[in-house]
Amino acid sequence: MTAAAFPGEVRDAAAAHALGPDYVRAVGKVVVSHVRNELAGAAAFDEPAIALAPGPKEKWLACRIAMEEYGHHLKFQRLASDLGLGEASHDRALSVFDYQLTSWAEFVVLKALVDLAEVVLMEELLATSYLPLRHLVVRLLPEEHFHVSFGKAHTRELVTDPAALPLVQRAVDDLVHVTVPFFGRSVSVNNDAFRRWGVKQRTNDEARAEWAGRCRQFVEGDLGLRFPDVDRHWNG
Amino acid sequence: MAWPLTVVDQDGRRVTFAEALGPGGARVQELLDALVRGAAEAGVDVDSLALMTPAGTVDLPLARVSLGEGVEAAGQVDGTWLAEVDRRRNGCRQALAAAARDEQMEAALHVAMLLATERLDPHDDADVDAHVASGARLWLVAGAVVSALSGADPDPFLAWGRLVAAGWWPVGPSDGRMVLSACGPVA
Ligand SMILES: [Fe+2]
Ligand SMILES: [Fe+2]
Repeated sequence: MTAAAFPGEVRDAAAAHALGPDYVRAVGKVVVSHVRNELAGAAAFDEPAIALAPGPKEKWLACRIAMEEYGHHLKFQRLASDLGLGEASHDRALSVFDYQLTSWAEFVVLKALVDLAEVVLMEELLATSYLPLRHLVVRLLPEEHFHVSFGKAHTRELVTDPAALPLVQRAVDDLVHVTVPFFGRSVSVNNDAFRRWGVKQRTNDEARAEWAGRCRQFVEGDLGLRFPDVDRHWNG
Repeated sequence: MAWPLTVVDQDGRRVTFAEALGPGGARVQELLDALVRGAAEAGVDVDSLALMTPAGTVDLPLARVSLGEGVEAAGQVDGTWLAEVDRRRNGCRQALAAAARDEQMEAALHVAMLLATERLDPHDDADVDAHVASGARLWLVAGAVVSALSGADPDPFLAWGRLVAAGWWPVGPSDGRMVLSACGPVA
């Protein structure tokens, strides 16, 4: 099966296994990438953010968000173990999580831009052939949207202070740069399999371009800052 | 998640969650039991517990307010008081790390957050105030778990842990009052 798109819906893990190891591998790769990213999001960024928050309200919002990310991690992990995939979180996370968080500005820009990448990836999964995954993202997307709107609102608040502009601009430049690989390589055997099996519909470049477009709109339109050039192609 | 939890230990024996956590585990289990009972819990002396803050007992008039007023008051919470709560919270974590009990701490927080994140879930996914209240209560639950496990005596988070479990959000000293918000029953 190469040319035709996989048309079906796959109701559960047993049905996935009945389709064969190729299907399980394709769904598994997507699920495991979220298992890692959600945990890295909770541990590497959000817990330090509780300490970086400028006031009690921000501290408690950051705490709620950290717990939600942890909850997302556990829910993706449950999907992975239903598929018979082992402990997935100990593998290395994507490059974006090597980024060291040192200021509140970086945290809120991160929620606005990097969580938007998570939203773009999850929105595509609303049509995924693997129904347990589809149902999970339906439940998680409202929380992920909240993270993005939290990030945007607090970034907008920061840029009302001209003194904060260089810091916000630098956070935008750095975070955009490290988020580009998040969508995968332009030439990707994995992505070919995802589309063949209806796990995803778009190429990695199409998803990357959509994310960059939505980010640009926020950074240039709302914040009045410069958005760095993003090449839709990326091959590592 | 099923509660109370039974855990299989290294030797394959079934033990309670409290036993698996080791010293302080019984206190953690009590806190989580109370959280699961939720607002149904009777005999909680709200007025006196509210004054026994994690940074010490305060002598302030108690103001019971709505969730919206609680969030407003949260913006003016006494910064020195908040820093002291943070200091004690971190102190308990450090004590556990120094005793090489990181694994037990992580297990306790993991289960506590599994139980609490759902129970203290903001009903409206876009309501910022509800997220502030939920986050504050999760922050207190995490503090109470770590404090209980560390064996701190007296336990600075005991009183407010009970209040959160019983459905309250103790906000903190704000504008000369001790502010307590009734954020509705724990779902
Ligand atoms: Fe998430
Ligand atoms: Fe998120």
